[in-house]
This record gives sequence, C-alpha cells and structure tokens, in this order.
Amino acid sequence: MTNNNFEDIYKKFQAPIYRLCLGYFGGNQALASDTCQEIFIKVWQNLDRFKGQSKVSTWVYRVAVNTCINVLRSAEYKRQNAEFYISKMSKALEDSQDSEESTSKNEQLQAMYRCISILKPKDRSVILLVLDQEPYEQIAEIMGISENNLRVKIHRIKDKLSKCINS
Amino acid sequence: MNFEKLCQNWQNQDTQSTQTPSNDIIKKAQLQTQKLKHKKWWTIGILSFTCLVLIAFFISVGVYKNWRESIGLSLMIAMLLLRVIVELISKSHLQNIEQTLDFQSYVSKLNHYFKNRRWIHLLLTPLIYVVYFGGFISMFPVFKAQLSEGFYHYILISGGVVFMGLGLFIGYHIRKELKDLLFLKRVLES
Repeated sequence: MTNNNFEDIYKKFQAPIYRLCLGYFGGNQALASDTCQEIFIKVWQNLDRFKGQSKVSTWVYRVAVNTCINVLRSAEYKRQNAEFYISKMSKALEDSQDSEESTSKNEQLQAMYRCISILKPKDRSVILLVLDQEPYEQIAEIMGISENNLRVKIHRIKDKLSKCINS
Repeated sequence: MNFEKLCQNWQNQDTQSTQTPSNDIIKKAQLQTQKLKHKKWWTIGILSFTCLVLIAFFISVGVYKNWRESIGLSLMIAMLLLRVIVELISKSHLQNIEQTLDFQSYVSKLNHYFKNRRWIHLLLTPLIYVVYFGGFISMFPVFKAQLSEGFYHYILISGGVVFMGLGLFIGYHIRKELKDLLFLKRVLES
C-alpha cells in the first residue's frame, strides 16, 4: 500500500467520517476534528494489513466506530465536565446563529446532535451509519451483528430519533 | 419531518472547513509510529538500566551479608520490578487489540482486557503494595542502627506520606478503570 492509496481513501471518506464523529460527540467540532485525525492516523498505520477481505469502506468505518467508542470511554470519566462544555458550545453556536442567520436547517442539525447524543453508544453508531446511507449489509458487518437484529434496531432507533427531533 | 429529509440534511453539513490536508495526516502518522518505537526501546532500556543499578548497589554495599537488609531490600526491588513488568505486559495486550475488528468483537475484547485489569488492581497491586512496605518496615532497625536520629525520623515520616500518597494514587486509577469496565459492560448490553 502506498501514500496514494491513503490519499484516495482520505479523499473519499474524510467527510463521512467527520460527520460520524460530529454525531458521536454532540456536534463538538474540536473533538470531532481531533478524533477524525486519530482515525485516519490509525487507517494509515494499519493500511498494510488490509487484505481486501471486506470492502474498504467497511474497514475504515470499523476503525472509526472503534476509535469513537474509545474516545467516548475516556470522556465518560470526565462526563460531567464534558457535557457542560458541549452544552455550552452548542448554546453559543445556537445563539450566534440566531443573531446572524436563523435557519431551520441549522436548528434541525442542532436538534439532531442533541438527540443522537442521548442514544446509547451502540445505537449512536448504527444510526450515524444509516444517516450516511450505508447499506444495511455493510452496517451489520461493521457492527458485528446479524442483519435481522440490525433491522429491528434501526426501526426502534429511527422511531426514537424522529420523536426526539419533532418534540 | 420524515427520515429521508433528515438524512439529506445530515449529509449536506459543511465538512470542508475542518479538512486537514492528507499530507499532514501522513506526517503525523509517521511521527506517531516513530515515537511508539522509540518509547518501546526507551522503556526496555530504562528497565534494564534500573535492574543493573540495583544489582550493582546490592553487591557494592554488601547488603547480602545481612539477612534482614537483604530480605527487606530484595522484597522492595522484586515488588517494584514485578509491578512494572505486569504493567508493560498488560499495556501491550491493550495495544495488540485489532482496531479493524467489528464493533461487537472490539468492545468484547476491551471488556475482557479491563476484566483482567480488575484482577491486577484488586488482587496483585494490593499484595505488591503490602509486601513492598513490609520490606520497607523490616529495614527500620537497620535504618535506626546506621542513620542519625533525625534522618531516621525523616525516613519514617516520608515513608508514611509516600505510603498514603501511593495508596490514594492507586485507588484513583482503580476507580477510573472500574468505571471504564462499567461503561463497556453497558455498551455490550445495549
């Protein structure tokens, strides 16, 4: 594998992986950006071991969700501070957007960040992959659960998320 | 609002403003890989050097001639080395967990790792801690005989402070890792 392979992967997956991180960390851009970099550093370090047994996207997403859960685990210990920080950031962002240009799209994104961050970590991973329209078969491979189990989960999470956003 | 519309809005978020050039990522990755290799060699080097210094100290001051000093100091050195080696082995197990496993397997492996750490923290560390300070206490008569009264009292007081400080430090880390374990258990159960 060469740096060119990495560049292709980075070009293709940077945006969806960054969105995944944003969703994971309640819209905290600094944390999402750092985690996104950490993910691609791991991708680069493990590229030689990729044998093509799964799709590249499955492989990259696996590194991504595993890294996110690790960041979340370490943040869990400082949960109270982190939550305070995140809510403060979101509030500041909302306020500045309200005063500049209040768009329903931004409000909706903020609501999505908030509602996704309430979900359990596993459900969070699943719904973020669904939001990026990854095929169910691939999501099942990334998560290590059966497709049937996944469908039931997705139905339940979609329901929960829609209710939360519309409330 | 239907779910398709949510997906559309989600994918239309601005992600360009935070994009780091791929060359920067490659440079960081190379640097991190190099640092990890250096760290590994430094750790082995420092540990080997510490062992050599301790052995040299042991021989040069003739500690082995006095059984009380010999046992006390040997226990302290052995416990210190044992804890460092156990920690190095344990950390290498964490680093060897494949990052490219599926989520469920990855979290299971992490959970298994922290379960093993629980044995280290709740059984091995307190045992090492007690034996280490047992060795230290067994040397008090030697300190009293060979050192001035002031220095002897200084060792007693500072030893007590270190004993308590180390206890708090170990307790803090045990608490932190038990919380990690609880978190992973919740993830697996969800």
